[in-house]
Amino acid sequence: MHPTFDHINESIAMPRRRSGLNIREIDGEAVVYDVAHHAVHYLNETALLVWRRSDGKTSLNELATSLQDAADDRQDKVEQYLRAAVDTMVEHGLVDLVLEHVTPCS
Amino acid sequence: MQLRFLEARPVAEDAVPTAPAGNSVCSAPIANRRVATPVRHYRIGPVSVRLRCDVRDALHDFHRLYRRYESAFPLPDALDVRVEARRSRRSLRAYYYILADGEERFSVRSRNAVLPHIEWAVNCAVMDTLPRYYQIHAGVVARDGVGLILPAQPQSGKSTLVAGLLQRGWRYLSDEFALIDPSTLRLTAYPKAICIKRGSFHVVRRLGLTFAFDRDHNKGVKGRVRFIDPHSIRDDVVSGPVPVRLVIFPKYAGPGSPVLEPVSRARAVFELSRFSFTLTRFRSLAVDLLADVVENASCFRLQAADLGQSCDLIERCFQDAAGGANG
Repeated sequence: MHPTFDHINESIAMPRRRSGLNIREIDGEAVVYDVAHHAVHYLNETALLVWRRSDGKTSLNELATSLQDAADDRQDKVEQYLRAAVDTMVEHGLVDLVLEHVTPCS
Repeated sequence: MQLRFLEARPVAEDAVPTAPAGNSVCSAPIANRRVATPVRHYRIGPVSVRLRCDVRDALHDFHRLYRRYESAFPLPDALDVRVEARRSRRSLRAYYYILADGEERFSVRSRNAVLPHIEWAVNCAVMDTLPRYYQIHAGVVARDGVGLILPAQPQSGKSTLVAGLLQRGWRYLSDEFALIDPSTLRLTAYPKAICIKRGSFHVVRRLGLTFAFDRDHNKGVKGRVRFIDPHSIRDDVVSGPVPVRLVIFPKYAGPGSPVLEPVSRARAVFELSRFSFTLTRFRSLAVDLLADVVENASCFRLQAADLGQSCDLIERCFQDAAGGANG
């Protein structure tokens, strides 16, 4: 089972695009073909934005900040959308959530 | 042991029907047949069929629908369709078995179910016999040299919409298959007879279109159907290859006014993939192909209602799309 937002600490979770996916961008949206599962997925404009920035190095908090700049919307709405988008993408096997290893301060 | 017979039961709606595993069929050819089974050859668009049929009236009806496409000679790579009349050894009732390339597709009990199931068997085999085409479950018509695809689930009113548009001067490619040539991205006609379900009989009559036969045929789980020979609408009704200019996803919503709403091209590609018969064959190329197909197309979702109003809306939309493309 993939970890989702409900299971992790948002400040250390970094979504990362999975391999084996072919993406075709069309008019600012995208269609993704999952080679292994013969499944097709549709990403609207905002989901595509999230997908593009899911590089495994950007945390969800950082993603929310950059998304808010792009979306020009209220912070709580952006976070709510981001949560739903990432959860859906994790559920459908489009992204993994990478957890940063935090070394406790001694 | 209970003797079970398939009564036109496909594996899934509009999927390739086959006899389920473990089905027990015990039958014998009907005795005393004195006449050899007639064989006829047809080339319907890109689909070649060799038909051998024990049921003379079904053969006659099929020929009446497709006489223009008859070939005097056997055709290479033809789909071999055979209808065998056999009698159950146990009940002595006659059954009609429809086989495509030797594989049993359906068995039916009534003679008037044979014709629609021959058609259905041919449709089911199109996927295997035409591997070079990308195939979508859709009605397809054309006007002014450009095509309109109507992809939809069964019972969505595709064939009725197609009939309505043909009556208004559109040209015909198919009421079931959008066949896309990947090398040209053009639609190729598979001009099968238009199959209208019982719920739309009165609508078609009101249009002034005539059915090919003055009786219903029984299409098993799909109910009573009637056929329209598209050539009875106009002699030159069948279109040549055309590019896609309009994609409309129709769904019959009941009485009232139809509603047309735009759909983004990416969304349209996703929806088209859902109605594709050949997605797994083309794999990741499918998405690129569909994206290229809709590149110059306008895409909409239609809540179809009254046929006349729905066709009006489609025609206005087509004019706007053509105007936009020309402008």
